Amino acid sequence: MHLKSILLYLLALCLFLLGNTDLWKKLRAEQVLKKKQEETIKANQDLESKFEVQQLEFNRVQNQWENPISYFQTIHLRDDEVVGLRKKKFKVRIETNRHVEHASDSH
Amino acid sequence: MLPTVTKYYFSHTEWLFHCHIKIKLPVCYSADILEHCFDLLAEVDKKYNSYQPDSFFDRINRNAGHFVAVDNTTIQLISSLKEISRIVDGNYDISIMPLLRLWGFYRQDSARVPQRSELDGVLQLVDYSRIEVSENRVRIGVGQELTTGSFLKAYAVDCVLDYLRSKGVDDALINAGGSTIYGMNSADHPEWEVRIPHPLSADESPKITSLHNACLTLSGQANNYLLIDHRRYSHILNARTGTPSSHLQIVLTTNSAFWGDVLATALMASPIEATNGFLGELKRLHPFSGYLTDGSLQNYTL
Repeated sequence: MHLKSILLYLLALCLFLLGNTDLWKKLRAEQVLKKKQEETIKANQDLESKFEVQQLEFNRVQNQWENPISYFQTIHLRDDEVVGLRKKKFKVRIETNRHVEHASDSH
Repeated sequence: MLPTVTKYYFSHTEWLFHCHIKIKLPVCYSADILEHCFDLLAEVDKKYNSYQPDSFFDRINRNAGHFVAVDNTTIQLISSLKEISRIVDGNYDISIMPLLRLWGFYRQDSARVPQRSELDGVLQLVDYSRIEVSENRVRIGVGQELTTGSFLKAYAVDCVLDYLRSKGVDDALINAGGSTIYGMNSADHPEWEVRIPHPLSADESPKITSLHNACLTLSGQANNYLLIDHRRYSHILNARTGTPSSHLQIVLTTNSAFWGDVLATALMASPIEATNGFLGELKRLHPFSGYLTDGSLQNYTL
């Protein structure tokens, strides 16, 4: 008897949820809207990164517009060019003349 | 005597000639000089090391039986080494490579003690008198092979010292693997201190000696040995008998790293009863002092 009550209750719950089509439509619409908003934000970020904005100041002495901040042009190198330019860093330690050296026959 | 003033040094270590080589230079000098020292070491390694492809000694080995054009340095090295071999009656010989291979020094599988017949066969190839030097060419016999292991690292250290002196450096230290240590000293830094290990135990260092514008060379078997069937054999072989040295340790002081290394190896390889016969002639060739510890821990002043 107890079991039958539980089963009927669960059945009623399922019918309520599945039968409430308005609820599902509302949830789906919210999801679609949220996704569109995220896509718009991402698209705007991509758009902004393509363009570099620099602020110029007018130099009255030179009578010209100047950029007070140094900008660097990015040069894309091939991997082998980068390897050729890189030199292994020479690292040194500091020791004193009070350090006793160890003789060894290991080599 | 400990120094009264603490001096500071730039120090750099690299792996070359199968060991760690450390060079110390006072901080008043540019680190560029230190870097160039290691460039020099690498250059000597590339040009002369018998284990480096296409070095002068490698070419001599690969063209055994034929004359090979070499440079003056190779000629001078070989001439000096042949002279030492002559003085010590062949107990030391740079054409010992076939013997080293027979004992398994360059094998990955477990070594075994060679039989007498095998030793006798290989000893036919160990013969410094068959190294021919003609003007700027060298030829070894067919089947022979030279090894630079007993002298090249120390020769490279001497090259670095010449460079440092040319730059006006009068205070520095070069520690090549612990077996070749050269101390340059100035008036305000009269000596370097070096700890000498016990002949049987690398962890104990009962002696401290001082170096003043000299090279300390140490050879022994506390760390460096061949293990066959749970028994230790010295890595220094007698080129006449083909058997490992029974001496435990030698410590020499010279004013040249090259001569220290070669003389130490030659004396370690020679039986003690023969050493008295040529000690004087070796000292006339290049002065040295030191001591040798035999297999029963008895010390002999050299």
